[in-house]
Amino acid sequence: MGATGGPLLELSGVRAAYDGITVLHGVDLEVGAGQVVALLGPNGAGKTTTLKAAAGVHPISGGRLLLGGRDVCGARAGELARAGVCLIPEGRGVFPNLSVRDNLWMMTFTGRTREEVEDAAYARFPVLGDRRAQAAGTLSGGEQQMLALARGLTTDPAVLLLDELSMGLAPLVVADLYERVADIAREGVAVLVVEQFAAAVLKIADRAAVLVRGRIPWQGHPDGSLHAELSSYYLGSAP
Amino acid sequence: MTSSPAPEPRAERFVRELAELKIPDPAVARAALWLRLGGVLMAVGLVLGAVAFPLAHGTDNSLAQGDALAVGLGGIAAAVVGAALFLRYSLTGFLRFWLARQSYDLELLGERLTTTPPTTSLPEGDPRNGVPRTDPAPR
Ligand SMILES: Nc1ncnc2c1ncn2[C@@H]1O[C@H](COP(=O)(O)OP(=O)(O)O)[C@@H](O)[C@H]1O
Ligand SMILES: [Mg+2]
Repeated sequence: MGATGGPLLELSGVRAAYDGITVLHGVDLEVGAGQVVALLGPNGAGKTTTLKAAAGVHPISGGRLLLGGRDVCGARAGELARAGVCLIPEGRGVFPNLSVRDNLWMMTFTGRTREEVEDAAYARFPVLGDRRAQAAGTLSGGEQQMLALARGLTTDPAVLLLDELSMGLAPLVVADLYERVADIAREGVAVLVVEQFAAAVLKIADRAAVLVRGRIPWQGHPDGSLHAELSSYYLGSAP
Repeated sequence: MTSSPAPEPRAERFVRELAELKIPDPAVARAALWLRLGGVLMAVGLVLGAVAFPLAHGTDNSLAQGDALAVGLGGIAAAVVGAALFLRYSLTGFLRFWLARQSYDLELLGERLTTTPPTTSLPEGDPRNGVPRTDPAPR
């Protein structure tokens, strides 16, 4: 939990629309410092939109977005990012033609030196150190995701938003990545993870929420009952 | 994980920085824009109006003079519109304050009128309406 005891990230009845078509119909979520919350849902449920709304990248058309207990509706995404909200988008967003080192050096705009940025990244992900001169596009999927995480972490985030970290990765790689995410959360970061397929993230999640067609029909502790819930929502047999 | 005693300083800093964050109110931003537009129109209009004279004066061609007249009139129109915008958006802030002040004063007055005892308690026939005599000399 945050310094005030409240969650660092809180969405309350958040609605969002694209071109007047509402895709989020009142989403409630809370993530405290040091917590990992998994947001699960089928394709097109609005998971990415929820993350974009939480980062202030997509305007919300209803409800409230609270960061550190403050209602930040109308704040610029850049300011939120500077304060410590980090969104790692689907597809990782690394520059494929640049080397690992160059990708990291780009993050010196956060005010850190090249050495600091590199050292921090290699300490957390040693494999990146071995591949520092390699073009990012030639890294394996898991390594690219690590690079994306390393880049995000140079901003010293307090709230980390991860979109489909596991996409296109082998289960073992995903499990390894989520161990790193758990480490990050242990350092006091509030982590909201979006996933379509649940298994790996549920091992480290403190709470899970199911998002279906822009609503959250289930939220709670990720235990055995969740799997039954999930399959019913994914297969459409739930009310 | 929930059980970990998370090191709080980062979270604390986050909460503090967000508390200090200035979030622009879109309505205020729009009003400021109109205000600036009004100011610019007013200035441009005045300049155009002033420039029209040398334009008209510097030529014998009555067609060019007509154009200069049009420029001058356009300038005046712009200045009028700009002044209206400017006043509208600069006065609202002031008038809102003034109105609040006015209603506060009215309320105060009403309270005083309803709570002060009736003036009949003053000594009858005192020409000074009860104000104590400070002048020792008899009149
Ligand atoms: N840029 C966009 N313009 C219009 N509609 C969009 C846009 N992005 C997403 N949508 C729609 O919003 C809904 C939710 O999308 P999204 O949040 O990306 O879902 P998810 O990440 O859960 O797969 C979908 O129906 C999608 O078609
Ligand atoms: Mg998505």
